[in-house]
Formats: sequence, C-alpha cells, structure tokens
Amino acid sequence: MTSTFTRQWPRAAFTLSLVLLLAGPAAAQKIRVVTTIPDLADITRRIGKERVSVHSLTLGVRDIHSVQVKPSMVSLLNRADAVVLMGLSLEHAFLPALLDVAANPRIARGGIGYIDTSTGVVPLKPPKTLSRKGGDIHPRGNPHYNLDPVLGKLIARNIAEGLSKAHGEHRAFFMKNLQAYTAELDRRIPGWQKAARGLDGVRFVSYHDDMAYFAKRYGMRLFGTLESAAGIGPTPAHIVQLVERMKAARVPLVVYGTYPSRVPQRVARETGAAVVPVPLYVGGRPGVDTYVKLIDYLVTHLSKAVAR
Amino acid sequence: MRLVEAKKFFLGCAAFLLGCGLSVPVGAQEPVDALKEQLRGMQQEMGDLMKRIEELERKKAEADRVQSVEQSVKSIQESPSILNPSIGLAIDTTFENRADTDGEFNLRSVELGLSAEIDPYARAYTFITGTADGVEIEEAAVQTTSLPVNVTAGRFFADFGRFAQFHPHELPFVNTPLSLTRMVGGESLGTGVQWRYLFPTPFYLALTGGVFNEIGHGHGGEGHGHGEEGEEHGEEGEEHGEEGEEHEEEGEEHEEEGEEHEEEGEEHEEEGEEHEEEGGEEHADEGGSRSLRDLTYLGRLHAFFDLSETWNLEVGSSLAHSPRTEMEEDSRRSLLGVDVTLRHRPLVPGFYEGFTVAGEWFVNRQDAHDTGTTTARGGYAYANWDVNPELPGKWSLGLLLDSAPELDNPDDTTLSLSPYITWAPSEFNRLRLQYTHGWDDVGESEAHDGAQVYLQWTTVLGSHTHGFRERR
Ligand SMILES: [Zn+2]
Repeated sequence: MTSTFTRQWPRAAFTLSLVLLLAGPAAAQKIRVVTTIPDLADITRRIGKERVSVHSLTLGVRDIHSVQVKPSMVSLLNRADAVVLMGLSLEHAFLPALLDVAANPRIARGGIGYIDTSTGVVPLKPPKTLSRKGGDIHPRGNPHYNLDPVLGKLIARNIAEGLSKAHGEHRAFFMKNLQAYTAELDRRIPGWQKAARGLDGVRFVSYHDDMAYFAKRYGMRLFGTLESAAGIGPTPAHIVQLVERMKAARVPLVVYGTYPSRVPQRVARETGAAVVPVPLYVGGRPGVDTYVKLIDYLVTHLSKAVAR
Repeated sequence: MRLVEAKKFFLGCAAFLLGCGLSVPVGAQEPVDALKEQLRGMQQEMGDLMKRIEELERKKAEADRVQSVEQSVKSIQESPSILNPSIGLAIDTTFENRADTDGEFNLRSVELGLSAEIDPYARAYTFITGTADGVEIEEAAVQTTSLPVNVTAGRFFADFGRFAQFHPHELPFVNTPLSLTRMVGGESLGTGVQWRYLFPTPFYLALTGGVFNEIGHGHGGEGHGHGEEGEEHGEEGEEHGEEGEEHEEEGEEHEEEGEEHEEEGEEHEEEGEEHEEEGGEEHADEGGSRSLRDLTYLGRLHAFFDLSETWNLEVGSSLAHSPRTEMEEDSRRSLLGVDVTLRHRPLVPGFYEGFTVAGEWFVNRQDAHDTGTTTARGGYAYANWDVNPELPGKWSLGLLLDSAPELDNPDDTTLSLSPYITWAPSEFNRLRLQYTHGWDDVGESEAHDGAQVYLQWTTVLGSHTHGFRERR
C-alpha cells in the first residue's frame, strides 16, 4: 500500500502543478471582477457579459454588517482586476482588512480597479454628530441604497464607467450593455411604481434600517426599528415601548431582512401587523437571483402584505 | 438639466429624420431643386446638431469635473489616514479571584494603535502598550501592500500559529493559554523580516518565511532572550496577579539552564563574542555581532478551505528554528506548531449564530550537549458558540482546555479547563466572565492551581480596524 502511494505521489504532484499552471492563463482571458454583494455581481455580469468573470464575496442571506473575514476572499482579491463595492462604509466589517493583505495595487483604494458604486449617491440619514452614541454601523449615512431601482441605474453606470477606465478597449461594449440594462430598468421602473401604489404612505417597522431607500422611492414611512440603535440589538424595554406605539398608531407592517425571525414575528403577533421576511440583496430569498427579481419580489410581496 | 438637453437632442434627431422622410415625395416632382432644398435643410440641421453636441460635451465636461471633485472629497472622508494615521486605544481591565489572591483589580494593558498608508506601496502600524511594568513599543512595522509578496519588516507578531499573533485582548477568552505562554512566549513577537507568498491555487494557500532575532520569548539566538522572557513573563505574571513569583520561577529555570550548559566548551571563538554581549542583556536587538546562527528562522504553510457555504476549515503548520538558543552554549531549539480551526455559520439566522472549534498543538525540541534532547508537547483547544438571544449586543459561550508543559521539565504539566461567556454590547465594548480550574503539577507556584474567576472588561476608543490577522 505504502509503496503504491509513494509511486503515485510524484504523478499526483505533477498533475496538480499542471492544473495550477493551466488554471492561470485560462482565467486570465476574462476580466476578473470581485464584488462585495451579489447585487453588484449581477449588474456587473449584465455590463461585462462574457468578457468578465464575477465573484461575490458575500451571500445575499448574510448580514453585511458582520461578514466574516475569510482567507479565501484574499485569494480572490489577490487575483482580481477590479473590486466593485457599495461604499459608504457598508463593507466596513470585512473589506478594509482584506484589501490590506490582498497585495494587489490594482484594487487598492484609489487604484484603477477600485470601483465604488456610491459615486453620485446622496446618502439618506447622514449622521448628525460624529459620535457612536447612536450606534456605530452607519457612520456615513445609510448605505443600503441598492434597494432603490433608480439608483440601480446609477450603480450600473458607475460599474460600466469603472470597468471602462481600466479596460478602455472594451468601453464601447460596456457602454452598449449599460444602455441595454438601463433601458430594461427604465422599462420596469414605471411598472414597479404602479404596482407599489398601495405602499404609498404605509408606515412600517424594520428590524434594521436597511429599507430606507426602497421606502423613500415608494412613499413608505419608517415608524421604527426593532434594533434600539443601528447595529445594537433589540432591548426588551425598547420592544415593549415600540409595541405600544405601534398599536396606538396601527402600524400595519413589520419587515426583517438578514436577522432572526423571533422578535419580528412576536411584535407582529402582538400588534396584529403583517410580517414579511424581505430579501435585502440578490439571493436573499429563494428564487431572487437577479437584481430585477429582487426589486420585483419586494414590490410584490410588500404590496400583497399591505393589501391584506 | 442634462436630461432636458438630451431630450432636445433626440427631438432634433427625430425632426431631422422626419424631414428626410418627407422630402422624398417632394423630390420626386422636382428632383434638383428638391435635392438642393434637402441639402440646405440638412446643412442647417447638421449645424444645429453640431451646436447641440458641443453644448452637450461642454455640459458633460462640467459634470465630470463636479463628479471628480465629489469623488475626491469622498475619498478624503473615507480614508482619513491619508491625512492622519488612524488612531485607536484599547483598554483591558480585569478583576481576578484565585487561590493566591483574594480578588484584585488589574489594569492589564492600555494599547495605543496607530496605522496609516505611507504611499501606494506600503503601510505602517505601531502598537504602543502600557502595562504595570511600563510602556513598551510592542509592534512597529512596515508592510508592503502592492508587491506580489507581502513583506513585513520591523518589530511585529511573526506569522507563527494562530493565537500567538493576537494581541491578548483580542483573544476569545480572558488569558493567553498557558501552553502558548510556555511554548511560544504568549505572543510571537519578533524583530526581523517576513514575507508571505500566496499561491495561485483555487483555494487559499500561503507560505511564510521569516528571519528574526528571536520569536516570542526565549525562542531565539540570544541568551538575553531570557532577559526579555523575564520581562514578558512580568506581563504574564501580571495577568495572574503574581508578578514577583513568576519572575522568580522563570529566573530559577534559566539559572538551571545556565548550569546545564556552562560546562560545555565548544565553539570557543564565538563564545568570546557572546560574553561581550552578555553585559547588555536587556538590549538583545542591539547586539552588533550577531552571526547568522544566532537568528531564528520561521516557516509557515497555511491553507483555508470553504467546505460549503456554511463550513470552513483552516489549517496551518509553523516551524521556528534557532540554530543556537543560548549565546553561551551550543544548543538548538525547534518549535513546531500545528493549528486547526473549523467554523460553522448557519445560513438562516436564529438563536444559534455560529460555532468554532479550534486548537493548536506545539512540540518543542531543545538539544543541548550535556542534557541531550528535551522534547515538550502541549497545546490548547477551545469551542465557541455564538448565540443571539435577541438582546442587545453579541453573545458567545465557550470552553477552553489547556495543557502546558514546562519546557525544561516536560513531565511537569499544568492542565486547565475554562468555561466562559462573552457579551459585547457593541463592537467597541466587551465584557467577559471566565471560570478556570487548574491542575498544576509544577507545584512550586499556586498561581495556576485550583479555582480562578476572572471578569474582563475591554473597550476601544477611536478607530478599530478588523484586521485580517485577528479574524475569529
Ligand atoms: Zn445597515
């Protein structure tokens, strides 16, 4: 047995090194893009099509504010031609640490492949003081702007511009695809607006303040969060008070994204509000595998819940 | 504004096309005039279009300029370290109750961390730590950020094992495991240079090499490793509230060691050098006559596998080799470390948020001519559960097992078992309660024996980066 292994070993090593050698050039033909969230991955694929290979560092079901730093992410970033991120400190939990060790000047902050899609976004709820008293995870205003489809167009444009900057030879291709994607969103936006009419003026409670941009787009009004402050969990006293206020104001809707269901379910039960688990990113619920489907899901499910 | 302009532009185009379309039937009646008319019309339209295009280009340039200003303002906001280093201060305090103390408060450490990008190619950081023993520059290092190989130089935690690279207040439990303290010296602190190469494999595989004056405490090519060891054990002693005793203990050990090796008479030439240096025991790193054999060499192979969306496995193997540990002697030391970390994080959030089981095992081999080879084996393992009771902050529960041999008398081992619970109201504020039961064979000290209770409070002021090194 041992001798077989000994004889097999050099061959295995040879095969492995061959695979490693071949894996390099094969992947090198495409522009390697790493995105922080799956939404950006989907949009990047629509812009770059067959000329890019795209990986998202996180899954849509994860809480973006507490993503684990994994060495496998370093490997991806080390070989990336571009990194696409939401910015506004959304990726604070993991991206700065990864970029420190990625040893890749192309994607370092300010590098040619560092694509921050928040360019041109005016953040909602900018912090009024530079203190951590109000929680500590939205230091530069609310960063969850991916849920506004109109800003989705801006994200797409920023990605196309960013990719073109580093890969000018593909500019025309990216711009053509951007146009097509923007046109698709433009076609759908009025439809969503129509479908979401029932949401206009609806007050709702969210686990974390991650629906701000969606709410603003469709006229919903945030009544309160289950968290007592951004990034600080729900305290019993806060929940008791919130339930009282919700009852008095007849708040009809509770939503929660990447957080546990126990407290939102309980609050909904106690107040008689509808409760909807919402996807916050592409992949956040089964079947939500594109950005368009993400907005679709939110509009349809929230409208349905409110209509009841 | 730009949208309106664009609309006008398209309207213009439409009018132009319409004009072309309409002119065809007219042209059928009087071909030449119609064509002339058409051409004039086209020229007119072209002129208008050109003006509009120029107008649009001007506006676009204006918008781009505004955008680039916007962007630069944003990048300054985003990364203040371009203008100032980011500054963080970590304060670690404990209340301890053990067999040998009736409860005491400790300000274990105040750690000031500074870091900044120097230029596009490198960043630098330093940690200045104040303990009861005084203020020490714990780390001060420069790190390349843009070379294909990560190079770090200065005084820093060498890439040996896992928790040896953590500042103690970043550990998941209250105290540095005693096995780590005895085997590595608590932290893998070293002055030297280190490089890490990332293989282009589909999974994470990295190879680190390094050369240091010494790594940790006592693992190195200088007798005064002990000088430092004493110092560091002071820190450690302080952790256990019993500095003096620890110092004595260590002192004794080394005296013994010294005796063991004193008779040995090889390598006379070098001995001369060494004796000269002996005077400056405290200043190991200033020794000007260090030969290559006095250095410690480090190697580490480190791999990470995403087993699935929820499970991942990290394994590492490190070797630190000192061709000559005592300046006076010809003795060698090799320390081998193996670390394994298995993590799980469920996709559906609930009460259970994640699980980590990990451990490190060390084998220390010391070769000396008179005593022969002494091999000591020890290590620790722990399991940690992250739970979410839907109360404020993050909660976790854990259990630590530790087996720490004396390096010179491997049969004397201290065992301990420590359950603990951690509550972090926020990322910058953490409380931890730990019970430790120790079984101390060493006998001379009660510091690690019997029941011990610790309450730890750690806070961070200012910036707190989630470093790659300190990831959980
Ligand atoms: Zn948030």
